[in-house]
Amino acid sequence: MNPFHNPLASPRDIDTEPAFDPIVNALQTAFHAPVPTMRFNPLAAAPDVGPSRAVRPWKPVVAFGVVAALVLAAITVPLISDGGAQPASAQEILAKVAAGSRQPYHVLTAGGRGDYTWEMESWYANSLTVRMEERDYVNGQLTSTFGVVRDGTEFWMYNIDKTGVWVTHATNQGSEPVPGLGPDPFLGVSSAAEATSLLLSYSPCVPVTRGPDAKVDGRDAYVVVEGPWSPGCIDPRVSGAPAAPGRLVFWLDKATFVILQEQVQDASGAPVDQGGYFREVRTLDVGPVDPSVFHYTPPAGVKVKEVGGTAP
Amino acid sequence: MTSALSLTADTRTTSSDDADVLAAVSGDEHAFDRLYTGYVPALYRYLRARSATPEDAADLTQVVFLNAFRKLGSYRTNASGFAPWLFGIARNAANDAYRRSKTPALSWDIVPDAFMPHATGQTPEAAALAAEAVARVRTAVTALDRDKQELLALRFAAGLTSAQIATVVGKREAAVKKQLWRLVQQLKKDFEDEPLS
Repeated sequence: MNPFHNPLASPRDIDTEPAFDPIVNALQTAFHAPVPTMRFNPLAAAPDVGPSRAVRPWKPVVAFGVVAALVLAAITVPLISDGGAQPASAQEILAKVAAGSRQPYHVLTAGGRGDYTWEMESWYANSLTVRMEERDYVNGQLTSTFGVVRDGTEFWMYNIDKTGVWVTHATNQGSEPVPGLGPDPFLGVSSAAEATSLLLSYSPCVPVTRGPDAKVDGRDAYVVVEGPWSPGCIDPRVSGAPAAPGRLVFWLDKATFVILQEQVQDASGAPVDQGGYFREVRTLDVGPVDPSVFHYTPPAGVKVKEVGGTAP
Repeated sequence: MTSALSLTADTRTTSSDDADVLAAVSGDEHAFDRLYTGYVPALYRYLRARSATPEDAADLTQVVFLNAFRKLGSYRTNASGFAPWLFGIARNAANDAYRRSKTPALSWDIVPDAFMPHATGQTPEAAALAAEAVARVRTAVTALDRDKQELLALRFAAGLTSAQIATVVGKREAAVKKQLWRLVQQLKKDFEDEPLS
């Protein structure tokens, strides 16, 4: 008899399986390995677990998440190689971006692939007064909205998806980004913070150089080239990071450091097909931002999770 | 009813996790320490079940926490909470390591003899029987396919709920519950002729 189709053996909730079940007890014991004493150091190099052999499509958005790494080390360690014509200038751009010497702006970017698309909107007044909102769409239907609003010491985070509306509020926090996450970690895709992360993402395996200045939609832009990834080079700090097949080229707005355009190129400089993935800046307004943008009011009836000034 | 399967005696809650995530990205240097301290046992045990050696598991644990720390800004508060997000990173890291090394998906040297069940006051005979039961379950689990082994690791090593596992593996909660229940029933069936003590 097939026990899986025994009508008397209807599935129960495994979460409430009784403790005295000998099978469950044996499984619990078998998996209950002793845990060594470990400590976390955010600025430590990741253990070298070897190069990844996973074959993945190059997905810049994924890379953006991975690259917000080791900012302090990246700023201070002169890793930019002399693979290009003006390596010192690339370092100079990097320093400017990291210093946050940029004008206020509002930027709307969109991207995605196939049925999944997203919009990312960022408003920047200064390093302590920022807002970002990300909206995800499937087949053109809005599926989730995530936002962060920071106005001095007021910090709001909200997420709206099929599970509900989630709002978190903090006071006397948010004034300083945490080391290792990079400046303005919530500014989002296409913001100057993203450019910071991208520029700081290089490793001993990836040279970053500066190309000739250019114009994008009439705006003056720096051109920064990241790559190519050195064959066989292992970066123990970025475990599992996908290696670009060629090189990444970024056009950075000179006034705001917003990424106006990006392109994956092969070794010859020809654009590489990214499987339908697109990303484009739809609006970029440079200049003072309406202060009301940085004031957030939770929707009526939504329970706000409060985080105290100093965490316990 | 308290779940008998809450192996990690999880003192962390979605609420405290989210508060610590927000505090961490807001500059509280101690907040991530709390997340680390709270999750390192479960994360290590999960990765231990998916690594060949304790050293590999410890290295992977550090890699996962470093990646989590760096990606913290991308975490989204939701009903599932922080644990599935963290274990999603761990699962990817373990899969990467598996592809690199081609070691078994589940390592069954994870329980040294000294760590076999030996309750206070347990007689040597009882301890031996319990150890034998664990050894037999190990053998049975090793015969399962990789996906099933991982479900068990997420449940019994990581101590995740069915809903959390569903988020990690991208399945519906009901499907995970059903599969876990069937797995336990299958193991019971395997030991029908010679029940575990």
